[in-house]
Amino acid sequence: MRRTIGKAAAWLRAVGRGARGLLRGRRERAELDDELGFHLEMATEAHMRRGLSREDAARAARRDFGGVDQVTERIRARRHFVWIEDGLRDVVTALRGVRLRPGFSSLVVLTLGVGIGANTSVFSLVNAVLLQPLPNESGDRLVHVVQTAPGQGLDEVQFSVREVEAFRSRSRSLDAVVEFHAMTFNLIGEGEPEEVQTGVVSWDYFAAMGMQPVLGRGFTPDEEAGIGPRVLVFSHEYWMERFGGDASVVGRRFEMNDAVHTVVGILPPAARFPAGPEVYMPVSHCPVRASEAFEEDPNARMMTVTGRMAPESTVAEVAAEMAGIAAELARERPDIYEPERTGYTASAVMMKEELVREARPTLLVLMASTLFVLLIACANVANLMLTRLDRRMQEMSVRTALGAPRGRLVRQLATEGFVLASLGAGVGLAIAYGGLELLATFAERFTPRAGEVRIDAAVLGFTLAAAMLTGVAFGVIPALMRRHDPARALREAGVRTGSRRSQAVRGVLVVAQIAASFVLLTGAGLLTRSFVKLQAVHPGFDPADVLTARVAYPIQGRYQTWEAQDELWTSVLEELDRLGGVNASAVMSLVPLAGGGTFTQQVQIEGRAALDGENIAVFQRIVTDDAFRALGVPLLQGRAFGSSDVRGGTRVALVNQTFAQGRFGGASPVGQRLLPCNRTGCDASNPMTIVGVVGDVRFRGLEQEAGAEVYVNARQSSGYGTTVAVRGAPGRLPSARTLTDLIHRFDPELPVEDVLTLEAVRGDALAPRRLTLTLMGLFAGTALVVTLVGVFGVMAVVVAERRREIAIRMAFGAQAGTVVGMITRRAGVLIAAGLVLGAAASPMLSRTLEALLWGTEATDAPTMLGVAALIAVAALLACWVPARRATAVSPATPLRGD
Amino acid sequence: MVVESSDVFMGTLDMLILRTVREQPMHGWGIAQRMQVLSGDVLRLNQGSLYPALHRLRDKGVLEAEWGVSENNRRAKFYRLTDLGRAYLERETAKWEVFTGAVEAILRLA
Repeated sequence: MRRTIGKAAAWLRAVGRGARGLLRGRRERAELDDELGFHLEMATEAHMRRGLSREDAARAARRDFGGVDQVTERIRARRHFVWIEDGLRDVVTALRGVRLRPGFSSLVVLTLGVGIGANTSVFSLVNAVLLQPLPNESGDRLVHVVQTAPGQGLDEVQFSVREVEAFRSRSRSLDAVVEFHAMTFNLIGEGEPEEVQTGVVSWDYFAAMGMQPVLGRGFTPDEEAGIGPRVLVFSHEYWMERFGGDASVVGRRFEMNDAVHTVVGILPPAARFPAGPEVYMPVSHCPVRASEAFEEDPNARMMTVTGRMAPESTVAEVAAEMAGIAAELARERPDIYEPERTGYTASAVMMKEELVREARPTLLVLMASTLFVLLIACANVANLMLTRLDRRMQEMSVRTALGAPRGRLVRQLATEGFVLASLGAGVGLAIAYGGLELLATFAERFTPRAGEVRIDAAVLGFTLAAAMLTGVAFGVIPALMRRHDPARALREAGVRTGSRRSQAVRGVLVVAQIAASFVLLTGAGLLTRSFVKLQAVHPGFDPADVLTARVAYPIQGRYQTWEAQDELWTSVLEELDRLGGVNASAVMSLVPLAGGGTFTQQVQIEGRAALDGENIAVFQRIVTDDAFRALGVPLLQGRAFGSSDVRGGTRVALVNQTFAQGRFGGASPVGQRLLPCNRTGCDASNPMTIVGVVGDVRFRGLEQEAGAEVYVNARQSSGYGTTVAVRGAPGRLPSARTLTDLIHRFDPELPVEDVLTLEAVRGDALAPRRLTLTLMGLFAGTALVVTLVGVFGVMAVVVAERRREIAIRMAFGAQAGTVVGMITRRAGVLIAAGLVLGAAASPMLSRTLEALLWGTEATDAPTMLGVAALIAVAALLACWVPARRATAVSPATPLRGD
Repeated sequence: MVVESSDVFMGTLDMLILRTVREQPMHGWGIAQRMQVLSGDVLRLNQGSLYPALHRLRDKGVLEAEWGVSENNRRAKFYRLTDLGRAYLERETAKWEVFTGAVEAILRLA
């Protein structure tokens, strides 16, 4: 080892000299000329002393010397290029090696390519989403301001108009405070009316966010105040997609909320946060936000607030200041904030952190997984190299014996490693490029930064570093681990197997591989279990053969009244039921699993108020008569809604199972009456009679159990919902087009969006998990295959080493089974060691994974045992094959062979 | 008989150079002269090949070079054996002795 270090140091010195030589070429040349000049002079004088004339003496001296110029050149070339030259020669040799051993080489390159490709892909995500600063000019100064009410279990309370104003006017650490809320408005102008996601923003929102319009302008303070004509700014994406980037769109007029709006600007293509809005308008144009009642209502909270830090501020200062302002507000208006009860306060986090909060655990898990894959791949390649090294033992020994410095041999091996790693990196990059779009789509599920995913200098640097490190890992380490003992190697010539030491190294590598595979497969197994459990969750409805769609009532206009909505929906539902193949159709306030709908309503059970003390918070859903049939929600007690439940008649309600169980226990709630309540009290004059109980429906997502729900009949409510659901006979579900056209027959201007089957809605709800699981499964599967190849390789070597022994045993009548058992026993030890190590190491991944699990412990025993069994069986199989093959050979063959 | 230096193993040349500068630092001309004298004029060194060898040995770290003043007051480059070089020389010499001893033994017996 010390010798190796000495050699390495000498080599480094040579490299250093070479590099310096390149820089100091001229001076070196002069010194060399001086040195040789001195020699020639001395030689000339020596000849002169023997009586030659000066001229003849000089000629003789030169003759003795040989070509002076050639010598100079030889020295200079050596000095400058020795290391480059040697390196190039190594590369050429290595490349020749690659060509001469296509099987070995492609196995190595592919293994590394997969490892590096997976890492590059995931790193391109990590880089774009977690590491790169926000692309906005002011990205590193943007903070997300939050109000919280921990006393009420609220992590994030939105802002009222007055709160936005208070934070803006009182903050010193923020030099801009801007508000945002999203609305869905109908844009009417060209073609079909379209529902557009509209960002309602402060006039200086774009400037604060660092977005300079590419065409036209942003908003003005006057426009924020509602002075002058109404204006819109389009997002770059919407402009490109809808208008093909036509510059004449600026200045064009559109109708929105029954008023004319003029497009004044187009935003740059840069990422926006939040990413959704297609169109932007100043706050004065939003019918909800601009109403005086809304502005004055301290509890009408709808806006999110973004701040831009003043140049000197830190996020900690901003957070402290926000908390201070919140405390002031609470002191000034204790009636609104009730700080003791709600624990109201405010804080700030970096915008970047906020944007990646959801994506972080997933990305970290994937990054860790791919690193494990790369480690396994490296171990495998190291193993392959070691095997090859053993085969080349003789060659190496002869070369060492003949005086080739060992450093040179190590370097040759390292170069081979680098060449193979570079080829692997090439394959890896190709894989990463190919998968880029897929990955960006994947990331979209988690973060608005998905659009920024690309392979940039940082990613290329990462790939390069990964390739170099793997090159070192599998090229140099095996070489250093091998002891070159020429005498012994020559003695053992003919036994084409490794030393005891390389056997041990190989064993360690296999143990490490099995351990890493165990960790990865456990991770994948835990995700699978979560997924399977979630998939098995009954959402409370029957998603087969149901088509849903959402309409968007214009904020102002004809659907302001219940009568108008009733007229529309009565006709639409009638027409739908008349379509062939439709079993039931209904309108409801929201589609299951779509999230949202978190507002609760307060009710009391008549006559029970004194008992329960507090009001009951329930989710209220507005539905038409056939809603439960259309969704396939079972009726458990009593009756569903029907035509007898008329407007103005007895108000009726249905409750879900959770409500019934929670409030009535085993007793039937049918016939009980509910009183609607608000903060001032309950309205006993307007009770709803419970007529039935229906099954629980998971409205808020598969992960979340249903809350207490109360269903109200649309005919007896203030308005209809906006979601249509149509249940078809199996295979006869109307198409999305049919549904849209049918609605448009009654109102051609009413936008119909999100026309999806319930199966698709359910699939969407599972999609992020499915994607994470697929990737993780892919990585774990790759890891397992690579590991099995490794086990197979090692056992093949073991078998080859014991070929004679096996032959002798067989010749003396040993049973094939006994021999196979003998071989597999050794593998069994390695496998068991790997599994134990893996079990010890698995918390490394599963702790990160915890955030992604559902209904499954990170230490889930069945998963671990299952994975261990899988690995054990697969690995034993991988070593059984070579063992079996060894026993199948006629005993004479190997004995004669050597 | 005269043995031209091209006939001599490169490794042997290295060994001879190192042996020559073992006692004291010498410049290239001096090394060439001394080797010729010590070998009883049997080895006629191709003087040009001496310098690449000297530079190579310096790059390897077994020799050190330094500018100094020659016996006739000229500026000349002197080569000196390093510790690494000393160990290297010992090892190579030992190997050489084993090798030549073996060769000699065979030649005598045959």
